[in-house]
Amino acid sequence: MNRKGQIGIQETMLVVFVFFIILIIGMILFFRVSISSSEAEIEEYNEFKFKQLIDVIPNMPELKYSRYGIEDVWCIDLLKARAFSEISDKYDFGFKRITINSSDTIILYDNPAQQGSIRRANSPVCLYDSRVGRFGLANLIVEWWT
Amino acid sequence: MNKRGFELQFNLIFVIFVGLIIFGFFLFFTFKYIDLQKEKESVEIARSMDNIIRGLKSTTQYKEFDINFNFDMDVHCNEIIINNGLYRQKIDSIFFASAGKGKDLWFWSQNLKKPFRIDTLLFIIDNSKKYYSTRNGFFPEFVNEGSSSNFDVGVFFGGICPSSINGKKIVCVDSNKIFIDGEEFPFIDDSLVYGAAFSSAEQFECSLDKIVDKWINLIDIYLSKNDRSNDCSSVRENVKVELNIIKNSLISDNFAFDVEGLRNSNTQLSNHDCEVLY
Repeated sequence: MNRKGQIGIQETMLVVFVFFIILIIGMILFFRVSISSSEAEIEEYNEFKFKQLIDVIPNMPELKYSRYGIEDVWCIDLLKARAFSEISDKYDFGFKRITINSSDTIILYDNPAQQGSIRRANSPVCLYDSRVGRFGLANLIVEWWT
Repeated sequence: MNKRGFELQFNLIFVIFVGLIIFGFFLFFTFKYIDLQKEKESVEIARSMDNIIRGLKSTTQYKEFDINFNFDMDVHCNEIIINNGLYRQKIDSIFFASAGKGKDLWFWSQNLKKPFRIDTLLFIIDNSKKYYSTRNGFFPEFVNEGSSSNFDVGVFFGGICPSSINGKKIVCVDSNKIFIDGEEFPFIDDSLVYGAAFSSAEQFECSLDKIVDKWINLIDIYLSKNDRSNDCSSVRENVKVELNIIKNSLISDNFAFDVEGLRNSNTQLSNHDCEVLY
């Protein structure tokens, strides 16, 4: 092969090499952006599920107030909540702490993680004390370790 | 081979080699991109499922799963696996479903009450199948109904149970048992017959176990509530006895018990101007 031909091939190889480098950088950037947008979407979804717990918990049959089996009042039964807090280790809500704050505090579920940041959601809920037949207000707090 | 021929051959091999690498790159890129898109789709499917499930738990009773993607759905005890494991949707509710294509799905919920609410059961119905029952009007109107000669899933009441028909799922119900393709399960409530129709035997068994566990937990909660209540101690003793009868029956897998006793005791509490238990 003559010298001119060799230089030609070297030039071509250099161009191909640069082309590949640009291609690889482009692909890495594209995947990074796509993966981070996917991760953000999953994170957003987990956040959404976490916030939904505020709706889900008061509706659980383990906690919801009923009369003759009819649950037409959106209220937590205080005595059921106290009973649930004693057996809640049989349930799996993940790394969370769920608390009802009224005149005193009932920890419904307590499974904190050793590390990580805590997110918190809270909402006022109706609380019924069947011993005195009184409806009151309480604060339902859900803490989540991420 | 002369010098020119060698150069030409070298160039040809070089071009083919580089071309293959570029082609490989694009192929890899395309597959990765498809995987990524499918994963995104799976999250979107899971989110839509979750929205429907939450809705069904509170207000709506049934809803079509209206999503633009075709997806593969595999069903495990606690979760639905979307697109061959690209996303696993954990289902917190007790649910009944069978594996298949997520093309024509309907979500339906029903309360299981014995005599208090145990849970809101969730049914994921594959409406690409045809359902038939010997009891008229058994399936609600949104379920794709077949006929006695044309069905994929048949539910037979009243002790008449056809022997297995090739490729068809047979559910038979007599007074206290449900048979799914010959496998025997206890009959607790009509809602479980729907569960048997819409799920596989393994999925049904798993959900049934979860129902029993939850039921026992609820009885423990009501026992504790009953003990903490400070009125009508004599009637509360009856309530306690009734709750313990049900609890012990459930623990010993004996489902032939009556909840009327507990219902009557609950009414008695009210008759004595006391707070009812449930």
